[in-house]
Amino acid sequence: MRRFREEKDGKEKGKGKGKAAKRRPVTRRRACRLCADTKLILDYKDLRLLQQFISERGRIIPRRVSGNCAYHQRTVGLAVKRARLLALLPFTSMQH
Amino acid sequence: MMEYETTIVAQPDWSADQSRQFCERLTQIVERTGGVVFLNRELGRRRLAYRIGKQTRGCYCYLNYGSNGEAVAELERVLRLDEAVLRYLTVQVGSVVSVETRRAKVLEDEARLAHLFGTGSEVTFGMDESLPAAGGT
Repeated sequence: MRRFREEKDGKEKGKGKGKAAKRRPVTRRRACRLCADTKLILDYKDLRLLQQFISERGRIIPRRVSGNCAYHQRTVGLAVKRARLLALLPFTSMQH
Repeated sequence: MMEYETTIVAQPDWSADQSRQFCERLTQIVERTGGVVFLNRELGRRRLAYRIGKQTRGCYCYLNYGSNGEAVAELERVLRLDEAVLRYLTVQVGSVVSVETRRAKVLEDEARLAHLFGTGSEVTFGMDESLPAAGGT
């Protein structure tokens, strides 16, 4: 909806001026790392790999940021949650 | 027959001998209930990401086996009753086509496990430092 409005505004205001009213920042779509490298097998025991998909606070990085595809983001989520159960990864960073 | 793997977090005060005995006991349980154990490893001791029952460290054991499900039920029953066990997690890995082919792959798997947890069965996993400290920022 918002995007639609922006486009409409852009058409009205930006006619002939070369600049649209608002533009979304151009971001390059990142390729899914786990798709690109088929040798990477996601496992709840592989902490070195899992740590690349969690933030410093122990939260799962959204796929908007990490660039994972939907399928691999689901596998990351599952693996992180399993690792948390076994106290390999923290649920939150505030726990003692 | 399905393939399962169970990871167990036990209390850290065990000696190497005791944890080996524990692993042996689990293997016997699986075999008694008609399962086949493919891999049985102590993964050593490491710091927990959060405290479980006042423990900050845990002794990790890993068991990979094939079973029709009876072994899982019996294994989990025993683990639930054992007070030394802090946590356990059983995951279904896949369906076993043939026990022999799976057995042949065990060595390969073991190498992978060693890569994940470090080689030694004692004290460190080689990744202790890279873990975010419990109670940190």
